Amino acid sequence: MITALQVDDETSAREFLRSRLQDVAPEIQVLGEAVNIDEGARLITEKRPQLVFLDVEMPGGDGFELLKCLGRWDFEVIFTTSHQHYAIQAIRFSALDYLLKPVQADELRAAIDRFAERKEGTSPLVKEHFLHNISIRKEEALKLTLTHGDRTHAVPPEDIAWCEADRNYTALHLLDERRFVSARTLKDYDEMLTPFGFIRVHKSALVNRRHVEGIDKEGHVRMRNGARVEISRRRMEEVALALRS
Amino acid sequence: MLVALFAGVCLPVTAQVTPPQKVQLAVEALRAATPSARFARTIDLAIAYRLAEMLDSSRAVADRALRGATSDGERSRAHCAIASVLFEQDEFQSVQDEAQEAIVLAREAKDTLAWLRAEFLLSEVDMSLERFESGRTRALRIIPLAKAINDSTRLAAAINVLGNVCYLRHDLDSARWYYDRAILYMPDAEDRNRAALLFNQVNLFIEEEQYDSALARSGAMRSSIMGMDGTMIGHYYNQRGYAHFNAGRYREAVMEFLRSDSVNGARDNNLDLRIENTGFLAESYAALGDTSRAYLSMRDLEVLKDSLNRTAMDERMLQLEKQFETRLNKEEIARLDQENKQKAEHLRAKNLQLYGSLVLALFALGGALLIWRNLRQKRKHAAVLEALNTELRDQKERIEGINRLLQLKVLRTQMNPHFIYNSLNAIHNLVRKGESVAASAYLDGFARLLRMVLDHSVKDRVPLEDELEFLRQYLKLEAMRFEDGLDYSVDADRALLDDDLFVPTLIVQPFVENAVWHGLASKQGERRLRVSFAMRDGKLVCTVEDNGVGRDAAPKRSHPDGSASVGLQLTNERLQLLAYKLEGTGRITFTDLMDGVVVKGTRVEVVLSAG
Repeated sequence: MITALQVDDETSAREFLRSRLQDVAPEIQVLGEAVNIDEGARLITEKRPQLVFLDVEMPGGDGFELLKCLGRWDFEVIFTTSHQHYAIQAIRFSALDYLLKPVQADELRAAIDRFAERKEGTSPLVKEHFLHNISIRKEEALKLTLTHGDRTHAVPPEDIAWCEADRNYTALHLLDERRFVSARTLKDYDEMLTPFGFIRVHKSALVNRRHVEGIDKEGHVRMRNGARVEISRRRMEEVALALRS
Repeated sequence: MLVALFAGVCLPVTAQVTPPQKVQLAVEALRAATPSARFARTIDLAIAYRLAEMLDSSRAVADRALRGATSDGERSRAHCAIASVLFEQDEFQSVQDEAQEAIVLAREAKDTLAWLRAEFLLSEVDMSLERFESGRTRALRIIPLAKAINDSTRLAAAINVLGNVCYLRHDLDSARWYYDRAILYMPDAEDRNRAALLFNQVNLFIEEEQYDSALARSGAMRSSIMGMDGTMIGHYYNQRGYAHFNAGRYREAVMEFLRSDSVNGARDNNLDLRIENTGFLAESYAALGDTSRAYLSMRDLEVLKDSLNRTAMDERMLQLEKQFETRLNKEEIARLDQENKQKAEHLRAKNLQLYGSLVLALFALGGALLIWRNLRQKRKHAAVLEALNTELRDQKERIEGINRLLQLKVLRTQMNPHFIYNSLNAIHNLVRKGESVAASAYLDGFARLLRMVLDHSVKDRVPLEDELEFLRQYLKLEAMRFEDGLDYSVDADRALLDDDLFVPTLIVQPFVENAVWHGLASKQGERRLRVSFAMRDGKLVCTVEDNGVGRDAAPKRSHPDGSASVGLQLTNERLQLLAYKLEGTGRITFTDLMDGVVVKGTRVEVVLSAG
């Protein structure tokens, strides 16, 4: 049995999620529902749930505000949000979990499974980085949370030279020669980093445009830090175009 | 003091690219600039105009940069650019105002370079107004700033200012010390600024009446000077002549002044330098007792001085004319900007209204064309107006670019509203029939599809896999609404998926929708639809193939009574526009699939590759 709370200002959205949970995740026991962040904070202290479904967009203080007020929290969060670019970027950059509304059955199940797999819970450092990410409220100021063994780093996208797919993992090559391996796919990073001027040059490579020196004769991207990254034949034209503009 | 003292940093003219070419390059760079680089390119253009001595254009562009600036740092740079133009126009009071503003903003934004530039301009104003003490103080302030950002040119220039102040106070030893030091920061022999410093050193020797040292020092810079422009070479010979003249060697002086005059006359024809040369020539001839030549030189001098006055007047008139033209131009640019803004708002507010947007697009195009033609008629001063035209064309192209973008946005942000209403009807009917599970499933699918539309509509391209999923989701919903089913497939070559290829968003769906509703809906019997993506001749091609009633039959059957439903028309309109765009670049083909004379379907092929 997993104890959970819901914070969402919309009645229909709360009902919808509740019935979805009954259908696909009967092991979740919903201890209560709050309609704003004040009530949410009160219920959380009172009921001490393991999991909170937290709506992002709410009048009178959004879901991010709630966590900012709490400062530290010992439950896991799954954000629920409609299509809101900044919020989704902030959550993904912070390596936290979210569901798009209206919540789909299979996606809900997958999120619950991911929750169950995180036995020791989200580390305090990840939470700290998240609070930093949402404090500035600017997409350009977001930092990527990367966990490396038992260590957690917050990396601004401009420090990343390029990313390389390694099966379902992604290796991130930093300017200062550090290399992180992340459990997310390159496609994830592609989606997250495109607004930061990253260009997909190959099915297994994503480069940061600001660190590109040029394209060499053999059709590789030459990076400022000396790395050479292959461009796929099919993408050559597009990459050349993107680098020129 | 007869020889001009070089005040500081000269214009960074490079031999390979002339200033008008630089303007051209800067215009192109601005045109190609991404939104984030736009501001920097605008400033570059302002600088290019200034170096080409098109001060009003430079001012107009700098003003535009200021309006478009989004941070204190950018605003500071824009103020700097404006101040630089004002400096060229000798509007020293205004230079100070702009530069002070720039300094406040630069310090706020911690932008050392902008701060340095503004301080530097103020020091130039001080020197121009002969406020030497203030210039000295400012130069002392500039030095640490220039050091902080490794700007050796301005560092040297600031030290040069200190040297100049000493020189003007006849503290020649200190002046020499500063000049020597400044030269250390200017190692590049080809640099005009280094040459300017060397000129100052030579001046020092002349001032000290060490004419041979002056000539020796001057001779040492000969080889680097010879690669520069006529004015610099002219100054070089003029300075040598001056040294000889002061030394009483009038014959040598005459030779040098003649050389100076011939180089200058042949290449740049700098009027001030010509006057100086001619004046010295007259004096030298007189000293040599060659009165006839001295007389002729004096007469030349008179003519030159006259023409200097005339040039000043011509320049003033040209300036006024340019100001007049620029004002017209500015008004037109403002109007275009205004139109632009209105259009963007219009689109946001009424995304659905394709017609409105199209009419606006035509307006903007017509407006831009009118203005362009209008300007052509006014082309009297070819050189000046040519550049103004370039600027306007730049504007026009930008607007056309925005139009194309807006059109494309209109084309793809919307799902056919007809489809949305149909879906809602389908859900409504399921609920009424009490089929709550089916209704819920349909609703889920519908929500998933809408989410994808929203997500894709803000992107230019999405992974092929996402596009396939989107089309499958769409067809899944459509299939649910045919009682006797729809046999559909959406596939791509394995190799394409393995390569994680990207495709433009929401371009294929209208064609699929068209095949469903105009090819298959009215057909009896089995309905088949195949969507496939493949590489052909190095281009990504999407093929939509149905076994429907064919293109000719489709419209007639769709509205038997001759009236078109709104939804149908919208689809057609959108499709027509899309097809028109794609056809223009030869990227779409329609084929009737025939079985003898009997139509057995339609095939649409769309080329999706970029370029």
